[in-house]
Amino acid sequence: MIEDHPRVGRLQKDAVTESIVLNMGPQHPSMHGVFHMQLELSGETILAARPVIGYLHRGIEKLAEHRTYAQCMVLVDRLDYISQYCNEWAYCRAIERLARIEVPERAEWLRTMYAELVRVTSHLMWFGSVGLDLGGWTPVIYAFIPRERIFDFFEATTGSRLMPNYLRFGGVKEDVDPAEMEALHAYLAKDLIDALDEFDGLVTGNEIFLSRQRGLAPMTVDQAHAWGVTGPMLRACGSTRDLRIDTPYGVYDRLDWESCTDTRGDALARYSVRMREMRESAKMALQCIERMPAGEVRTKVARVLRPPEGEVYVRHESTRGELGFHIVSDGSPKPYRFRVRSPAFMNVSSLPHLCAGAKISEFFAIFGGIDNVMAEIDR
Amino acid sequence: MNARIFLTQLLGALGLIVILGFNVIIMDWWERKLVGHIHRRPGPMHTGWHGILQPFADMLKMLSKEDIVPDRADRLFFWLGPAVAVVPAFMALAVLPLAPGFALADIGNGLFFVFAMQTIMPFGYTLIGWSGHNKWSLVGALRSAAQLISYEIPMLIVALGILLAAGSARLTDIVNAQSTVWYAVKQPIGLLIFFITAVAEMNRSPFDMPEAESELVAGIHTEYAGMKFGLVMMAEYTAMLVGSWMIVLLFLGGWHLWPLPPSPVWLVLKLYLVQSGIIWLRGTYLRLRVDTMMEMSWKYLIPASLANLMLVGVLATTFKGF
Amino acid sequence: MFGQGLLKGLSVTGRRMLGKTECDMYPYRKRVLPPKSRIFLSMRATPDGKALCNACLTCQQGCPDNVIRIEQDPEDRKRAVSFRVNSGRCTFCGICEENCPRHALTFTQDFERATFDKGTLTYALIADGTATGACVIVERTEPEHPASAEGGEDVG
Ligand code: SF4
Ligand code: SF4
Repeated sequence: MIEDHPRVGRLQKDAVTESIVLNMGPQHPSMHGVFHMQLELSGETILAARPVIGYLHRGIEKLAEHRTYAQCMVLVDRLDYISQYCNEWAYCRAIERLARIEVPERAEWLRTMYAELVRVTSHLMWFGSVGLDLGGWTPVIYAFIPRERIFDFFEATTGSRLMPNYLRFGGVKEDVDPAEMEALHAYLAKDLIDALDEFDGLVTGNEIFLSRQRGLAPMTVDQAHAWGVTGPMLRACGSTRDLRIDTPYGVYDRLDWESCTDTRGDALARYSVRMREMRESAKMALQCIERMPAGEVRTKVARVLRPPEGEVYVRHESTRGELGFHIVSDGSPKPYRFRVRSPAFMNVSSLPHLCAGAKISEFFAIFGGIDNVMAEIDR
Repeated sequence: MNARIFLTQLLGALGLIVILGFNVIIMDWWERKLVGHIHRRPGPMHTGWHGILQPFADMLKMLSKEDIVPDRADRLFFWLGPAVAVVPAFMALAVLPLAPGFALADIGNGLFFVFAMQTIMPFGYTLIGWSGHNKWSLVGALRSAAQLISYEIPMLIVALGILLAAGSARLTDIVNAQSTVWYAVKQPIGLLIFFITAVAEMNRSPFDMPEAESELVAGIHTEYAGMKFGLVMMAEYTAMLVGSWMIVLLFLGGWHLWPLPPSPVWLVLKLYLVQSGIIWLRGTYLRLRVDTMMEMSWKYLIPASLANLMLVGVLATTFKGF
Repeated sequence: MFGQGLLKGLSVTGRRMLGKTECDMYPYRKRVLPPKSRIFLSMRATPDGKALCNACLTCQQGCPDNVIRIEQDPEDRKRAVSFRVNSGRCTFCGICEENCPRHALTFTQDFERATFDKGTLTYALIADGTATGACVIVERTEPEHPASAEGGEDVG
């Protein structure tokens, strides 16, 4: 309970002042998307926080029921537009499991490569917004330079920077030009690592940054499980849960990598897990480019797919945590029910507990570590 | 007072205001350029040579904007706030010398006059934040009051060290005492503390709590638009100018650049170097947290500045000519 | 030591301050988009004004956003009289291009089509049975390769 929080309890007992309610968002310069947070303040201390969501509700789950399976891919891109390939892959895996479609070897490698690349871009975006939240303009602009470079690769190979619609049931849309792949390899091996080192110099070692993040909003594994927190946030409090290892898919079991964890559970731990994940993901993408076998990238699937009657739930390690697709098919070309378990939604539910007793300026430091995407929360 | 002196003073004051406007224009452009290059982008490029006309475009935009006063704002103080913030900054400039004896009023108590004027500014900021009837600006105003008051103390204590060493509160005398060795060399701790507190007094990043755009939307001036906002901005740039000018006068030898002959050129050069340094800080650092910042002042800067004062006192009595 | 990180940060930004900038100076220098980039929908046509489309309606039915409106010739169902694209609704997903059995659809990389009137976002690729100026002229008349996807029945 928020009232049991030691800092809040003491404040409430001694306070003779009135608390004010501050509406943070949905229009606020550093809200990520249209998130609305009602903060009850005593001075600068947050007594209670109530997240208000739904400003970006587009009814994607309902819309999907009126579209064929292939058309749903377009919607899936727009769920979490920062990690598009992860969404597409999770959705493809669900349908492939439902309709028993085989995926060629090369397509699995390609999918893994794209998913890891998008994890890098997503975390770069997060890094930039952490900088913005803490009051510095430089990190976000530095972070966008490598991000744009990887997006250039996406655009050259899939046709779109943000909404690729690239994965298909039973593979990917088309093969990648080897020249593009080579250029990307050169970039990932050197320039990206240099850029990450630069970010470390700019932010990670900075005493001001450390003073704002260390020990902030600690979370234990039990709390994280109780609140349904997954992904880098969960791994930052000591859990080793990573669906890429626990329920292997793609070619993760054939790559040489390790899942990044931390035991401290505070905002700094969440930061350092994501920073290290970027390097691991870049490493994995490099390995994919090096070891990718030649071959088909797509099995032939009917253009209008009619999966057999049944239902399926697929869990996927997206950049923000455990992304789930629950799809019920009634044998028609359109899904009967299309349900998304969004990782950011669950992660945001921990926010009121984390910020009780914090200061206004700490709020954004905590909020930045959650790395939410409203499009996915509101759907 | 005879009429001629009065007229020269009046002309001087007008000239000062022109110089101030010019400074705001230059700094506006220079800050965009410098921060742009730190961000690996060129900054303004369209308006004139490398965007040099951008401040004029900004000014036009501000002048042509609707002058909005929020419904439940306190109209009088809403209007008065920016004036209270900007006028003391102008007045402080009156005693700051550009060359030996060349100031609007080279008064014997110049050092304290500047600090006295700086003390009024937080009052203006608080009015700005409070009168807008907006929760964001209210929080910003409270922060600004707390911050400016707590950073004034170490700043003044360090200035006492200078007073002790120079033996005069007249700014010209203080500068002339540094004709060979700057106080920056003699009192490096003093310079460090003075620089930090000066940046905090100017509300510049990483101490820009009162406006903290990522937390408080735009902090104290959330409700301001049009030329009133321009006035607030002018107050901020002028405060920056006054603060850097004080750093140059007290620690960086003013117009002296030994062994070259003294000249106002050095002073202007140093002035803009210091301001560029402050912009560089803004391009690099994240914002401090409010309570850490208070802690820094009360727990570290004030004791350190007292120690510095003691050290200077001991040295000044032991060695003649320190 | 305290302060090390602060100095490191200054050195990073200081180096960048003196280095070169990374911007695309957009209106002065335009970016050349890669050929796969999906911007506006266009159609391949022969130099004598004949569009490759044979009015099979696959694209119209497969489009998730009802962007494409095709009118078949009532006499010759293999000929489109008009082919209109309401690009204001298009999500640039590329499903139409991918599924076209004649490989008639293609995307142009011309991205400067901002407008104040959303009516102008609807344009015709085929009008009165002939290809319009919005089409891309190609020399060959036969498709490059048969459609990549196997046909199933068409459900909108
Ligand atoms: S790109 Fe997608 S939305 Fe646009 S016309 Fe083609 S199928 Fe329709
Ligand atoms: S799919 Fe191709 S051939 Fe068929 S109607 Fe569309 S453009 Fe014409």
